[in-house]
Amino acid sequence: MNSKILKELCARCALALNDTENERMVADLTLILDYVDQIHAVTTDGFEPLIHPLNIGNVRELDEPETTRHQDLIQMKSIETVEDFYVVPKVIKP
Amino acid sequence: MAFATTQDMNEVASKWEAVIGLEVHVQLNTRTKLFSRTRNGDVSAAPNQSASLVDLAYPGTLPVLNQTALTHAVKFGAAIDGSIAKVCLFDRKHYFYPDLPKGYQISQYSHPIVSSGVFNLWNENGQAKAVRIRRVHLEEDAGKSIHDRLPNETVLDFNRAGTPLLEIVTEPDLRTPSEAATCLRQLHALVIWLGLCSGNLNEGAIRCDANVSLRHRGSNRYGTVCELKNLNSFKFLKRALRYEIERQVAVLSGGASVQRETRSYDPASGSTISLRPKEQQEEYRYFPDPDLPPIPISDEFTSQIKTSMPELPETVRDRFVKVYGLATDQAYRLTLEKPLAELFEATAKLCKDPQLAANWILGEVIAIRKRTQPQTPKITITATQLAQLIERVKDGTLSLNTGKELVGRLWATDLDLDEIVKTHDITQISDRDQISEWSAKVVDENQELIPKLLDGEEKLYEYFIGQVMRLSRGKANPHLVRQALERLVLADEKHCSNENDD
Amino acid sequence: MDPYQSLKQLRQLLDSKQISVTELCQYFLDRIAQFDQRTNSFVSVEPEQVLAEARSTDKTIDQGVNGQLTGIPVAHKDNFCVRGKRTSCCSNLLRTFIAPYDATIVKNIAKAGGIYFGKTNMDEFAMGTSNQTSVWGPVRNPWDLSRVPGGSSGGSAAAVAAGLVPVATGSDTGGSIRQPASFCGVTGFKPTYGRLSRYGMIAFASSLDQAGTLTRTAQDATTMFQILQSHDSQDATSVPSSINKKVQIKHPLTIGYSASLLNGLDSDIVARIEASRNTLEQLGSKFVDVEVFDQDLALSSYYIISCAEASSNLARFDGVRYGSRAKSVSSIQDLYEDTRSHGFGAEVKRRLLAGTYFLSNNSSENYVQKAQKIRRMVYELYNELFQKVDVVLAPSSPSTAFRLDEEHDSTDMYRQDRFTVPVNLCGLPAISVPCGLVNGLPIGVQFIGPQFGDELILDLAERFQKETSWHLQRPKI
Repeated sequence: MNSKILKELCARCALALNDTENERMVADLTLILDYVDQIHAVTTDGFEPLIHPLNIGNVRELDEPETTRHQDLIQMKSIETVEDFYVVPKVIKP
Repeated sequence: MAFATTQDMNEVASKWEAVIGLEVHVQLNTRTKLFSRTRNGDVSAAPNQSASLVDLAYPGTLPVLNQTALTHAVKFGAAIDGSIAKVCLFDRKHYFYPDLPKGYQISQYSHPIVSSGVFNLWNENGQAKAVRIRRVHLEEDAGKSIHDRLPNETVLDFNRAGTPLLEIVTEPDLRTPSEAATCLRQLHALVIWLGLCSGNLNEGAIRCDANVSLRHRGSNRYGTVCELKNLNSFKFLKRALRYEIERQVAVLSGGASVQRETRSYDPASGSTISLRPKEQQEEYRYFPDPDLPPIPISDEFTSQIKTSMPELPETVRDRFVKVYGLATDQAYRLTLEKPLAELFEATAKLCKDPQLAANWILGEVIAIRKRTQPQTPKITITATQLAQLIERVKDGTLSLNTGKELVGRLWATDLDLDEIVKTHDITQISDRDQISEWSAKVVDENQELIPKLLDGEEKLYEYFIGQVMRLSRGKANPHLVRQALERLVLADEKHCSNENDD
Repeated sequence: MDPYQSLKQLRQLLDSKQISVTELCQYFLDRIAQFDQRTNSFVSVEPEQVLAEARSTDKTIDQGVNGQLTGIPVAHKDNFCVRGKRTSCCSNLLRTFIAPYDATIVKNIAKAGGIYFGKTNMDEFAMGTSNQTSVWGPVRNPWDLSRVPGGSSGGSAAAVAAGLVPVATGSDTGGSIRQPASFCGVTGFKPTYGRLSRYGMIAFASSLDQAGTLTRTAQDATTMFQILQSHDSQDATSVPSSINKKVQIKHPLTIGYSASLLNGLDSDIVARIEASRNTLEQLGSKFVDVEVFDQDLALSSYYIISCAEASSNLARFDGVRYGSRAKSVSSIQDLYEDTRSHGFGAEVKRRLLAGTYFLSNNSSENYVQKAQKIRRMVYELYNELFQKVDVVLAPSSPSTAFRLDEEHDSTDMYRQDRFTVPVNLCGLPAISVPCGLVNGLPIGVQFIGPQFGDELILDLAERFQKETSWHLQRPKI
C-alpha cells in the first residue's frame, strides 16, 4: 500500500482525501492488509468459493406490474428535480 | 480519408480482410423489469414515473429475478442451439455514471446463461453462413442521460433503468460490413420471431456495438481490435464499419499500427471518433451479486422451454421451398417475420395457390402495411380475407386493380370480402357490348390521337384504357378493354386507308 | 411501574387494563427524556407522534383488536427504513434522508401492533464495534457512562439495558447484535440467514447481514422472532415458507465447546463462561470438546468479504437521487467526490477503500476468492461439527465494555468480532445471553446453532435464563 495505489482506489471509490487523511489511510490500510494477508498462507485447494451462506434463492414467477405508485412515495425527495428529471452537472459525453 | 475509386477499394479488398464481431443488446419485452415489479417498456410514462424504489436503488431495496426474463434467455439459447448454463448467476459490474443508479450494473460475467451457440445467416439465394455465438447473458439496462435539454446540466430519466437486456456476443466470424448488417438484421428478426423483443429500433429495443480489426488476407492472426459503440440501426452499422475499415486500412497502409480503443460512431459526420484508449478502460471489479443466490436451471425447465418453442425460421423456410415450391428468395422474405410466414401458410392452404399467395403478401400486403402503419409490424388482414380475394381475382369477379384496392379496404377490419363486393357494386364488368360502347366513346372523343397510336406509340394505349376505366368507374375488365380498343383502332385504320384510296 | 418488564408482563398489564397504551408510552418517553441525554441511545424520537399512535391504539384495544405486540413500544435501529421517518444509518450522507417505505421487519412489527418508538443510534452504516462512528455522537454504556455499549447495534442494546424501551431491533453482520448485547447485559439474537427479511434494512454486507433483536430475555427474543420471521418475496435470499428445515427442539443437548477459544481471555471472563457451562451441565446437557476454526483466519476472510460487499453496496450513495448532496459543484466528478467524502466518516471510507482494493483486478482472485474459499472451509467445519453436537457454546466478546477514550488501531478493534464472525460466515443462528458481571460490567455467552436451529437455541437460552438471573441485573443509571 502506498499513496499512489491509494489515489487509484480513491478514484474508483469516488472519494477525495486531503493530505492528512491520505497519510493516515495509507497507514491504516497497510495494517489491515498486513493482518488479512495471512490468508495467503493457507491451502484452500479443493474448496469452492462460498458466496451465499444458504443454498436457497427465490425468483419472481409472476410477471405482473405492481400497482404501487412509487413516485407518490418519493414525494418526500429532497433532491432537486426539473420537470420530473433528476439533474446533475453536465456530463461530458463519454 | 474516403477512398476515391472503386479500383482503390478493390485493391484494398484483395490485400486486407476485415474481422468483425458484434455485441447486440436486446431489450426483452417482459411485462415487468428484470429485478423489480415496475412495468417494463412503458414509453408513454413521464420522466421517472416508471421507475420504482428498486430501480432508483433506494437504500434497503433488493433485486429479485423476473423468471420470465430467464425463460426468454433460455428460449434464445435453444434457438441458437447453445449450451444452457445449469445455474443462473449474476455478477455486479461497477462503475460510476449518473444514469447507473446502484453504482453497479447487475450482469452475468463468469457464468453467461448461454454459451457457444451457432447462428445461421441466410442470404436470398438460400445459402447459409454459420456465425458462432460466443455468449449470451442477461443484464439490466441503465437509465437515460439527456445532455442537450439544459445548458449546464445533464438530466436523468430512470424509466429505462432495470429493463431486461439480453446481450448476444458473436465470435469475430463476420467479414464485411454488409455481412455484419445482415447478421444484425437476422438476429433482430429472430428475437421478434421468438416473441422476446418488440424489435422497435427507434426506441432502442435493439442496440449494437461492433469489434473490428484488419488482417492480411490469408492470415489466421487477428489484428488490433477497435470497439465501435452506438450502432443502432442496420444502416449505421454498415456505414460505421465501412468508415472504420477504411480508417484502419489507411493507418496500416501508412505503416502505423492501429490503437486498441473504443470509438463512437457519429451519424452526422458518418465517421467514428475515439472515446478512450483501451488501457484507460475502466476496471469493473466484477464479483458475484450476494443479493441474488444462484437459481438452478433444471434440465426439465430447459426441455419444457424447448418443446414449447415455435418452429424456427430456417425450418419454416425449408418447408416453404420444399412443400410449397417457393423460390428461395421468396421463402427467405416470408420468413423474416413470423406473422408473414403464418399468413402465407394459412392463405396458401385456403386458396390452394401458394405462388399467388406469396406474390400477394410480398407485394400488396407489405406495401399497404408500409403505407398505413410504418411503425408497427402488425399484419391486419386475415388469411381467410386474403384467400378469398385471391380467388375472386383469379376467377375474374374482381379486377386486379380492384383486388389490390380491396386489400386496403379489408385492412384492420373484420369485413367479409363477398359482402363488400355486393354492397359496393364493384364486381368487374366483363360485358363485351358495354365495354365496346365505352371504348367507342373514348375513341370518338380522341380522334386526333389515333394517328399517333397507329404510329406505334404504345404508351397511349394506357391513356385510352384509363379513360375507359374512368367511364366504367374502375369496374371494366382491363383485359377486355384493351381488346375492344385494339379492335376499334384497327377498324379506324381501315377506314382511313379507304378514304385515302378515294 | 417497572421499566424492566418482559413482553409477557407488559401484555398482561395492558390486557388487564392496569395501564393504558398511552400511559405505557408516556412512561417510556419520560424515561428517554430523563436518561437518554446520558446514553445517547436514540437518534430520533417524536413523542407527539408516539402518543398519537398510542391513543389510537387504546381505542382499537377497546374495540377488541389485539395483536401480540399491541401497544408495546419497539425501537428500530437506524438502518431500518421507516416510512416518513429519517433513516440515516447514522451517516452524514443520509442525515436528511426520509425513507419513503417501510422495511419488511418494520411492517411485521406494525402488523403485530407494536408502537414505533423511534430510531436507535448505531455505528455509521453498521461498521464498528463501539458505536463511536455515529454522526449523531457516540452511545454510552448505561452500566458505566465512560464506556462504549459495543456496536454496531449499540443504541438498541443501551436503550434496552437502560429500560428506555422493552425491545429494539438490530442488525448483525459480524457480531453487531451479540457483542453489544454482551457489553450491555441484554439478550441479543441473530437468526439464521434468510429467516428475517433484509428488505428495507440498509445493506452493509449482503451475504452476512441479518436482522435480529435486543431484548431483556430469551423468551422475549422468541416472541419477537415469531413476529418477525416471514417469507419475503422482495428478498431473493429470504427462506421460502415451503422450505421447512427447522431443527426440532429437544433437551438435554450435546454442546460443543473448545477450551482453546478461551486462551488469552481475562480469567474472570473465563470463569463466567465456565460457570455457564456448569449451569448447562446441571440442566443435563453433555459437553463435547470440539475444534474450532482458526479465529484470525476466519476474521480475515470476514473482513475481506464484508469490505468488498460494502464497497459495492455503498456505491449507490452518489448524491444523484437522494440523500445529502454536495452543493455548487461544477462537474459530476465533484458531485460524487464531495458528496461521498463529506458524507462518509473515516471508518466507512477505510472499509470502502479496503473493499475496493480487494476487488481490484489484480487482487480479486487473490483476496476475495481466497476469502470465499476460507469461508467454505469454515462452513464445512461447522457442518461437520453439527453432525456431532446440537449447539456450540462460545464467548460473545473477548472483553467487557472498554472505555470511550481507549486507543485502538483498526485491526485491534476488528478482533473484537473474533467469536462472532464465524456465525455470519456460515449463516448460523446465535444468541448472546448475559452470564455474569466482571468488575461490575456485564459479559455474555453465545449459543450457536446449526442453520435453522433458531428455535433450538432460543429454547436453550430460555432454559438457561430460568436457572440464572444475570439477565435480570440492572445498571444503576
